[in-house]
Amino acid sequence: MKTNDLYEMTISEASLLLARKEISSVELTKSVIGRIQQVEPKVKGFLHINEVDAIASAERADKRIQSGDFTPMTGIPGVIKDNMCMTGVPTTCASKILENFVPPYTATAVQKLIDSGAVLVGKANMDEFAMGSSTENSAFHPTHNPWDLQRVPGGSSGGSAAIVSAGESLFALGSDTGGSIRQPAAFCGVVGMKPTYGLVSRYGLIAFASSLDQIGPVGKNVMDSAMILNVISGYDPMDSTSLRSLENNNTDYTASITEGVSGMKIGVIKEMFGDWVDAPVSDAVMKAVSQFEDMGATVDWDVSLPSTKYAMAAYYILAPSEASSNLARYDGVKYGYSWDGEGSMWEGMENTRGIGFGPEVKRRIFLGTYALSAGYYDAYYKKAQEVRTLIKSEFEEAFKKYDILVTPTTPTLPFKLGAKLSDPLEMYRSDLCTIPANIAGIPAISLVCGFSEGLPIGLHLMGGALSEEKLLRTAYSFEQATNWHDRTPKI
Amino acid sequence: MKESNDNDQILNIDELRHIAELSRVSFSEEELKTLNSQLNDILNSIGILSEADTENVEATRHISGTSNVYRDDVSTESMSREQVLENAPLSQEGYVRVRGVFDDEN
Repeated sequence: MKTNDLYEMTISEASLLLARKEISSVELTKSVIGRIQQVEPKVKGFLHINEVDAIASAERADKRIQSGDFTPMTGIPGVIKDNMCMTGVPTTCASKILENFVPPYTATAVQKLIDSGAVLVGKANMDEFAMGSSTENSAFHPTHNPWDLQRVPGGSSGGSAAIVSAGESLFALGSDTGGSIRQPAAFCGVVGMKPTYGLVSRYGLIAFASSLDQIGPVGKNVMDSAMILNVISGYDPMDSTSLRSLENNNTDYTASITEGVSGMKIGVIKEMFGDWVDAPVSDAVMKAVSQFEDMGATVDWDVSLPSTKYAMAAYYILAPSEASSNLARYDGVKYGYSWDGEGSMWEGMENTRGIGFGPEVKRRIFLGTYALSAGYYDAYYKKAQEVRTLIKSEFEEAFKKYDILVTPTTPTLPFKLGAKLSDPLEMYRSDLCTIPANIAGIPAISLVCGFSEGLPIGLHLMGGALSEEKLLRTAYSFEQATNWHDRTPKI
Repeated sequence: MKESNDNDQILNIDELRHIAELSRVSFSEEELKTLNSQLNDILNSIGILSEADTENVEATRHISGTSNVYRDDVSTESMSREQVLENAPLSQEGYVRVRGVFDDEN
């Protein structure tokens, strides 16, 4: 491998060469920065690039490796979605209301990466406050899909997925409330995983919908994603929704990853293959399921989870309701943008929020405020929470019979920039297959299972709560049997 | 929840104006008109929930079943006043400065 191609490596490849001292983190990081300079004007996946700090942290990583005190992530360049706080580094949530916000503290998941020795190169673009499925809701600029620059990268973690796909970073962190890691991973042809709710601390993740939000890895392949999860997962007393059962738990998600799927029971959710799924997408996913059969798994092609048809409706009550409450904190007083015109306290607050928030954020605040307002609470919010119980129970029943459930990640191929911007409901449908996992709090992963018109197609696997090892093993087996993940976009 | 057809108006413009006021978000009438039609589309699609039979179904308030998470009542180091105020748009003598709360003239 030529030195200037170092950015093309996976984490596992780079980790090995770093440990053998055949390459240095500074060389690797410089290669990544070179790649960023080359393709970023086209991809526009970043909101903030930390070149000087990255080289300094690569130098520290090299010292750690020299001293023998290092981890598999030491010296590996990565990128953080811009809704995770990092002391001293601008964290904007792609919103004007946080344009000048510099956090005085660091998110736990980010701190764990820093402690592992990873080299954080910058912050990734996203839909404002993680609300969207195309990254076009960023207040600063849209990101372009590396496979076709006229198309969206998906969202809301579109910057994270596009950056990894374009070779501008070896990995990224994203956050997933209704599909925001998995949908862009599918659109950009990389691996994206939403862990079980509570597996990764949300401390320092700027809240969108607290009962659904979860941080997860975006990687070039399944093994890399497992390596990232090893670092970021675990109990955190700073997040009261972090799972206490994980205290003293040091699961190595790579340990059983090669054990195969022989004897596993895999179910195909028939409700997620409706006529609203494009034929090339369902064909590729069905073909992928047959490959699991060839690898020794038993497949039930006709599993029904009837309540999943309510998942999107429940989501668009639960998520906006929680958002309207979470975003009440942006009042122009303590931090962030503040309208400085003449006027009363209320005018100050209303104008700060009216100017600071973009259209999608306002839509969701209004929707949530409406759903939670007097007289509507029972009909909307409580009803949605009850439907959440139905969906959760159906998944629990299904996982008594099946190890893994399969759907497409997205109903369509990546769409053109601007195509769905004026029709929010159409945009929301991008997440029809991914939302149920957030509603049920279960882990799910998206990986490439084919291409159509030169664009990647995502295979979506779900497992029961805390079944990450099995989920990763299943995804890894598929990846080993196919070579879709070896393709890289020509930019 | 109101039973709905595809093009029902669930939320009229006056109700939306009230919601915007409750949300403390300034708006233009034009903005409100667009939002009103979009929100009605969304609310109509959400109407499907009324078909779900949730009689005797408990609401899920927390997906992993945790409740009342306590920590020991031990004080720990907090951020310094300077750090906290660094992000405040206006501060004065070590405090966050706000617009007049009780005086309508301010």
